[in-house]
Amino acid sequence: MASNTAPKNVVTINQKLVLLGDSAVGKSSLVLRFVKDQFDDYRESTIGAAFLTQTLPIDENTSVKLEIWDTAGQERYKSLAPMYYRNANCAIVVYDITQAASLEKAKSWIKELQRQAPEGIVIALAGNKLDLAQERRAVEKADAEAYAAEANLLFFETSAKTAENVNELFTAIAKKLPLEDKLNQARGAVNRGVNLSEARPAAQPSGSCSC
Amino acid sequence: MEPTSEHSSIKEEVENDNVHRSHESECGSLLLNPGNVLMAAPSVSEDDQEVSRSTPELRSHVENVEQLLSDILHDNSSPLNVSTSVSSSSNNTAVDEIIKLLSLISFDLAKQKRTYLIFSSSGKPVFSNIVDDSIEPSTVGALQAIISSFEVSKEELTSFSTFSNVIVVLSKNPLYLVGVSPSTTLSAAYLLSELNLLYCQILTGVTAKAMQLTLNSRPNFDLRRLIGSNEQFLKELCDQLNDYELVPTLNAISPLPLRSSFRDQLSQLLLRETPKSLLFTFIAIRGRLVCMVKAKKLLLHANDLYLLFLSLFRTQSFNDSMEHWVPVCFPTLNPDAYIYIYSYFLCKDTVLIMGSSESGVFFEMQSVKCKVAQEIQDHGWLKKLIYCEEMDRTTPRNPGSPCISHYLFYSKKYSQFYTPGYSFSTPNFNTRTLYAIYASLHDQAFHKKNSFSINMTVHESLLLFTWSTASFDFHCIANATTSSQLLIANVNKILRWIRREENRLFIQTNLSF
Repeated sequence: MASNTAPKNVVTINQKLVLLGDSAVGKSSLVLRFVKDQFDDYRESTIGAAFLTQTLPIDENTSVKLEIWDTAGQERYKSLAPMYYRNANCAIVVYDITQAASLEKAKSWIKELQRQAPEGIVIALAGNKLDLAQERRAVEKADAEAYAAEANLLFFETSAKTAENVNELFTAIAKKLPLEDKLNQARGAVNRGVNLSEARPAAQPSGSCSC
Repeated sequence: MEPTSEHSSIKEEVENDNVHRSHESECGSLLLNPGNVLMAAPSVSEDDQEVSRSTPELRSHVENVEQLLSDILHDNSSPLNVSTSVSSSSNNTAVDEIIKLLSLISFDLAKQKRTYLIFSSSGKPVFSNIVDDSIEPSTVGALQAIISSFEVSKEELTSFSTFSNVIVVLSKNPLYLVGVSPSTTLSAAYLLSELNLLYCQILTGVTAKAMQLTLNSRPNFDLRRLIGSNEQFLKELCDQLNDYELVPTLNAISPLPLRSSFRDQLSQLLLRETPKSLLFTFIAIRGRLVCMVKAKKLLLHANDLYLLFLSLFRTQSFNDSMEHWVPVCFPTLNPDAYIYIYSYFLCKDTVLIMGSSESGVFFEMQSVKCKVAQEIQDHGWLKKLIYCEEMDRTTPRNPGSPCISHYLFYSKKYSQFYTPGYSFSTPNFNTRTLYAIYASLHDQAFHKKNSFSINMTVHESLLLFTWSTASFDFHCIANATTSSQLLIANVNKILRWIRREENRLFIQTNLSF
């Protein structure tokens, strides 16, 4: 859950992250692993979109609060995607390394983002289900990595199940975000006795409830 | 915006049906003259006397339980051991009696499962609840041929029979929905209403317009790709229909009984937070509606709410700590448009829902949620709700009618029902038998031409009674040896109790903004 105990001299910057990709590649499982360190083998398909937040330290003075949209992969929800990536600062496009068709779908999403998402959006390509690589790999790492390099994307092969490379994926995105301008504004505000993060109206999901 | 309220009363409706109060001391006074009611089986005088002799003792015992429950519910300082004692005692009395009665009888409907098949007008299978998930192509072909032959001759095919099954067909271009039922006493209209719910469930995810557009441009399109994740909801819906879940059977919602002052507090909280784009807000716990506020001219139907409850409480899609933003079609309200639903579980079984016609207002909804959740937490209302729900489910208050084992009151005015001990969860065998009985009684009452009717039927050791009026249906189950005079006296007692408790049992006021 979002951290509420950051020391006063740490500046927190809100950034919007959207996950896209074919149905059943593991988008929700990646988010669940990252935010709650949980994995559910029989998770039901996402309907519409789910929203959650996680604060990630960048260095001793800076944290990024990721506002994460975990979108549904079914075809019928495709037309809703612009609603989620319209204001996004970063995106993770996920494919399943055991399903070659899901990489083609991921490439299609990347092209859409490059055409229609905000300019300068940070995009990561994630090949999930790495735990199945030994017996069921259908996409060679080198091929996907080459595509990512050519398109100037971050690239990771991950396993939400084993947690391999999950934190690395989100951390790499956070570190690649262009935060200098916002940090300067925030630090200037702090120096003048105003905490920019607190001034933002962005509401957080409530903490643990009493039951 | 100034909140307004529309208030009408079950009490007034009941009185309009010539129901009059009778004083407790007038033991001879009855709402109905028993001489006008025919028993389906002759009564045995010795049994009558036996029941009469046992009545005072049972009534006294049950009324003591009622008094204790009332004390506990109204006094938070009651010691826990009293609560435990009452819970245990009432559980044994109510549950043991029901189990004993239901386990002694055989009710055919309770043994049956229906099969549902959905396929497209081009003959492609779309969905079925057959366990091995394979529909024989020849079956679809045969069904399609039968349906097509009727369409060619301009006759509307709704049902036909084979040696051992009744088959009902609902045609909703571009879909055919088929229900296969073992020969049954349920009417074709009942079975068709089940198919209509399946069709509505499909629309919740795609809208009728989108489905038409898709097939018009791609006639051979595989609709399963469009339905996609709705399949999990369709399976749950089939299970609930086969279990005679009361909400879809009655096309009514079950509100959680609450003191009206508490329900008003919650409703006023929701009314304070109504952004311009909001259509409605409600809180529900374990499939029971707690309170709702909505835009003035919005008409929410019970079956649209039911389909939403199904996805909220009978699947895990939304019951997590995440916030969900989901386009949902309410087919009865408007089969061609989405409402965007904000969904957040305040705790494991309690959900806050907001609906908007605009897709881009998630953060407004989130802001409302934070205020509502904070206020609920500050007042400790969540614990109170959880306690009220658990008490109602496990030790429901009741008016103490010892010869009536169980009853169900269905309000036609509000599309709501009350039945003691109700839970939206999967029923056990005996509860399923109970629901099957109510489904059968409701089916018979629903299709009576008269708006006022009384029916008594003996089924093995049970006496099944239905009283149907323009404003309500009342169904109950009694021992078959109960005399009609005693039964009617106790029915009247229950109805008086329901009238007295109507503020608590039902959501009578539709608050709007």
